[in-house]
Amino acid sequence: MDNNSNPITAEEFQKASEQLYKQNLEVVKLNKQLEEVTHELEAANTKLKSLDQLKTEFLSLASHQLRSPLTSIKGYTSMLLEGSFGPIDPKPNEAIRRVYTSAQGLVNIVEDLLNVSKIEQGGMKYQMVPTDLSKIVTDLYNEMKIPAEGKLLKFNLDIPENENFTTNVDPVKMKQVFLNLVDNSIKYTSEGSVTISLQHDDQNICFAVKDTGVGISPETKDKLFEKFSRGEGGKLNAGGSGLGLYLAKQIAKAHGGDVLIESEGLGKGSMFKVCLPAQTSLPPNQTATEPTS
Amino acid sequence: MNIFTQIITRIIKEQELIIGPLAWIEAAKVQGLTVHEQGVVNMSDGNSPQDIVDRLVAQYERLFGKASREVCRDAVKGLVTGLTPEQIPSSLK
Repeated sequence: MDNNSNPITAEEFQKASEQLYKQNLEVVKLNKQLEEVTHELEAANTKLKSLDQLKTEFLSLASHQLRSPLTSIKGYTSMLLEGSFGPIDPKPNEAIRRVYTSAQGLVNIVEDLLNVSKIEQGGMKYQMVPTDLSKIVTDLYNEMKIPAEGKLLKFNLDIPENENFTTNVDPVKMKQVFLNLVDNSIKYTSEGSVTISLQHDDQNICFAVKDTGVGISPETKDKLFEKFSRGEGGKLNAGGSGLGLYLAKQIAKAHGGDVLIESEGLGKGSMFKVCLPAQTSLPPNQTATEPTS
Repeated sequence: MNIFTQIITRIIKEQELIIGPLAWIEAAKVQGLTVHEQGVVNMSDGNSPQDIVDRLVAQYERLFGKASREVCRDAVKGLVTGLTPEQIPSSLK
């Protein structure tokens, strides 16, 4: 019947049936194509996952193989600079200092690569213990004096006395985060100063690194936490893996904190801040989970 | 299963993809063809297999037009290559 209640003719019915058949046929053909494309995509996806896994495993293996000899280079050059093998003349001393700085840089890159591969494999574990962050920061300050003074930078430490900076963190991972930020600051500052500080901020403890270096443009700021992002470093040939900030963010988030950036623009220096809850929600000696983003 | 039974079964199954269970219902109406449950077909003695195939194709074409004849031909392309020209039902040529 049509809309005016007139019976539909056999011819009209036949036409409608044929039309419907053709439409169904079209749907079947499209479904077949969709199935083929889906299979192709699944195969490609499986291959990509396999390649990604291989890449991660290679990264991990290569980094492990590099770490031991680099640690040895760093250790012995450090001992030489400290005079453990006797006094050294200024010229050789300067050469050894450069070797030490380079070794330090390479060790940092290798550690970053290892940590990224752990995060990607879902294997990053955090051993949370009550830790006095002021001790970590002071040790870091002493460790980084050599490369900072090597660039003739004023290197300052600002930790208020008589304040308690103890909170639950994974001390090894957190030192790595702080080290990455300080290393970046020194790398991107050619003159002036780098100041590292620790302070209470509301419910948080904040570690900050402030420098008079190249600064950060607004366009670059948002991309800095991506893997292999170099910021202005790409132009400066400043070295490094481009993974430090990505890792810092992941680790800070796993601790319930975050990493913040402040800069008024290029040429105006920058400040990187890691803010952690003064007392994390996890009791000590329990592992944190990796962040979901 | 002989070749013509395979041809008939393939045609019905291909039509089923497009028109659903109606494909089997219409096939059951074809003279000389018996459709059992679970998609088994039998041809009656005294009917040439080519004629049964032609009647089946015509049944679908009567309802759904030339497009359905093309579907039948495409469905059994691979199967008819084993037949001599005289053996191929006219509706599939």
